[in-house]
Amino acid sequence: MTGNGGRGGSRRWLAGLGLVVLLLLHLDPWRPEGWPGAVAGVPGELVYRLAWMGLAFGYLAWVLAAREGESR
Amino acid sequence: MSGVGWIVLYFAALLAIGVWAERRRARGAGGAVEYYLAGRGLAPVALFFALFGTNCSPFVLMGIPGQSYHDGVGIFGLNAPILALGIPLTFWWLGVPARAMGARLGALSPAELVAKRLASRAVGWALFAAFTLFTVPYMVTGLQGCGLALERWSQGALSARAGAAVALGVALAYTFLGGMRATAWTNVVQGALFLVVVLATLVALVAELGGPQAACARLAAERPDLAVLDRTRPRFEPRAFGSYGLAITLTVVCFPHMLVRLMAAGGTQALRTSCRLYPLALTLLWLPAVGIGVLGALEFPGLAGNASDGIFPRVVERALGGERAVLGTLAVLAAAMSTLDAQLLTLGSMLSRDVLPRHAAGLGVERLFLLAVGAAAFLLYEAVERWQVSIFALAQLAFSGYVMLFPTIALALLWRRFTAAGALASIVLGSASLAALTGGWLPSAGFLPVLPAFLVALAAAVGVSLASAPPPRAHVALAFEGAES
Repeated sequence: MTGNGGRGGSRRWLAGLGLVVLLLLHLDPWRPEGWPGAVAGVPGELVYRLAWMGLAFGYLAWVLAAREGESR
Repeated sequence: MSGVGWIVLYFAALLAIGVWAERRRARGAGGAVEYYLAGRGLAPVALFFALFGTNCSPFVLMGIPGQSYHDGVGIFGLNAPILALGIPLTFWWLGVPARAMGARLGALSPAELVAKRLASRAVGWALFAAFTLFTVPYMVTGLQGCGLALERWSQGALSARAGAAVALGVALAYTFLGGMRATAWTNVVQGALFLVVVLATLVALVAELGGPQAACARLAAERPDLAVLDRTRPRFEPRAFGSYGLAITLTVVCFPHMLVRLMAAGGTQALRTSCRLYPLALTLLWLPAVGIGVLGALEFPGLAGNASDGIFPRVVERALGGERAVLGTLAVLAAAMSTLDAQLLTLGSMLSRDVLPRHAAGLGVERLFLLAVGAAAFLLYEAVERWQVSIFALAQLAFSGYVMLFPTIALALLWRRFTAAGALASIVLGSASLAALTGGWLPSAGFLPVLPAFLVALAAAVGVSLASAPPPRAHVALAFEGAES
């Protein structure tokens, strides 16, 4: 047992919550028609998915960094 | 240099890496750990490309542009985002314990790892059977990709059968020689090659269409249906969209040829680096693959059905032109062979370590198993060609089948209370449910069969484990903490 067990537990909850939010945004149930239109000429659907990926990269970096912190 | 020269150079480079890897193995400690797992010491760059190159098969290079040709940018949203998140997460959550537990238990293959963790040879045999059943058809898709690419490039001078045989022969040769280290470092060459070719092809195509703005404007004017996610199409219907996402997220880490690479990582830091690089590399591959399909529909309209799978080589020939068109062939060969070599090595290792009686003849016999797997794959390829089976349908079924193994693999690595009975129940009931749902004997309520079947596999794993006697504490402690605990 480490001294940062409580902080590790909070991180796990936050990681789970973040994953649920990301999955909901991926399934995107409140926009059945997707993302029509364009942003600077690029299809809106593609822009939305790339923006989601930006969020996911941030989440992934945080998860990996959190594990790094826990292992110290 | 002529096209033939580039292809010969490519094959020669792979064989040279095989010879180098064999010399390095012979200089070092040698033995099965070195041959099958590169001494559990793959460096970050080699590990990353070994994972990425193995993961990306002709399905991405030819199948995804082909699907995007018909279904538009929605194919990107269906696959790339969830893969870019899900693959690194599952690699991290399962890869770290798989590597550590594999070293503690002296396991060299995924089936051996789970069998030793659960102290059950029956689990090892069940996993070997399932892995083989799902992996060999997948190998055939690689052979088909190589055969078609070489036949098309040679304009029929080389038959698809001969092309597949040549590619298989080269992949077998360098894998036979250098084992895991050879396959990992050839994957560095292959992964870099197909990534650069796909990116260069998209850039050249967009330039030909008058730049990014002009290309997007032409898409909006001529094929607005390809620029949106059309939820009325069956594959984008919400329940199908969600269950497909689950399947492709969980399936990759269950490929035995991927899991064994995680077991070969040089350390946790090498795994972490690979997980960080993975989403970026996937984006750089999937964005051009979808773009080539969508913009290719403007340049080559009217391809019906599976004919669209040929859009990638057509676009390469148009956009790069002349002698450089051989790069498209090299990219397909690289994607196919980087997966094929890992599959050969992994099935060969499982055949020799998990199924047949242990032998004392050393690597000579181990390598014969590799040749046997190669021969079996080629025989199935010939049969599939003769029977005209839809190999993409077979591959899709195989991907769903791997998902049924996820509860067994994940719980063996993460849950101390998991038992061999739970594993066997999960594999059998999950696979049976998948077959019944796919065959239409059970209703799937609009979801893809893989989702309800996965839930059955998970429930069986947990329920039967809790109902059966717990595993011996000392053995569990050895697996999770090592001998010193």
